[in-house]
Amino acid sequence: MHLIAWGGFILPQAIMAYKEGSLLKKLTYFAGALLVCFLLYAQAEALDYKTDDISASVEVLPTFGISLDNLNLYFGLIQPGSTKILGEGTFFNQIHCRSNSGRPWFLKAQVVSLSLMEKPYKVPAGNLKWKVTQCTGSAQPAGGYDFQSLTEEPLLMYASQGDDDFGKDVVLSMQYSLQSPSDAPAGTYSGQIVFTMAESP
Amino acid sequence: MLKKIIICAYMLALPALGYASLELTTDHRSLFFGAMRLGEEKELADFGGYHNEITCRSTNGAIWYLKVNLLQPLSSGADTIPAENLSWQLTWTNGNGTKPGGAYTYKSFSLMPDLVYISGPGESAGNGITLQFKYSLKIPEIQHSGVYNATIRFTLTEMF
Repeated sequence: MHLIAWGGFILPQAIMAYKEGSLLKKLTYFAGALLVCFLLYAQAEALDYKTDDISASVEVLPTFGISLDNLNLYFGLIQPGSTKILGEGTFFNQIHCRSNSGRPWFLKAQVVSLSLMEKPYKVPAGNLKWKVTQCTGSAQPAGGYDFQSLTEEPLLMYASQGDDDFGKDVVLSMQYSLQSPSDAPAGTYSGQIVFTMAESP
Repeated sequence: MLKKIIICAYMLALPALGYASLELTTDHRSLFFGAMRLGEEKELADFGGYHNEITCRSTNGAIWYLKVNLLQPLSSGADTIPAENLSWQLTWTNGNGTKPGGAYTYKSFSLMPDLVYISGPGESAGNGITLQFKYSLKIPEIQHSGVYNATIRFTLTEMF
């Protein structure tokens, strides 16, 4: 700021002297005035602003996982030929799937034999069914919102879409149904349902 | 006589040009948040409540101000973390100027420069004003995995 004041003082004096002086003096004053103007301009430019940059970085960790609550599907006592539903009205348990790899993934289910413990007797896999009652994912469940029969081969339940591939917590609320064959021997039956979450190749 | 005055004026003006200065210095401590999970929030304040410090110095007698902005959001290829998920907070300064960004509260970064500090009386006489900052980052619940980078710019400007 004070340089501008100096410039304001010097330049009128130089102009006055320029008017009165010889050619050599005029040239000298003119060159001096130019020098002062240049320095003032350069100074103003230099003082305009200063910047400094700092880098920032973060690694967003990959997530890929499946979890289930209420793992034990206990149907209790069933009369031969009758059907029992677990989670009727709402849901019995929930399956959480989460991936942020950016690649599509799918969820499959299969039953690993529902057998009588005391004798060699197996309930047909199709008698055990699953139904999605609610889904928070971007896609629809593969079987819609109706009961689907399980098989001993993995069966597609859900295929990811959109935000599901970038970390959206996909929650499937499940019901289960078991129809006891009319000729089923009395006893305790036991089996396993396997849910598999995998990325599409 | 007039010639002497002009010569004296030049001689006084030229050295004065050398003294006038505006300086911005940082400790260049980068914001390395490390590995974070979806939805996680982390604060960088390693050194007794702050992460890095900026020093501003002016000898021009004019009011100066400090601004901060993101040059681009945290990016990994085409994926970005929204700028507002990264925040800064002025934790301490030895200056007595104005803090338009709000004193000692977190403020989200933006791509447009935000005012951090406006110099107070007597802060343009060459005394260094130090400002200490801490930072916070929240990873969105939906975010592609990967390494994200950004550049933060501090700008010191003088009012003429």
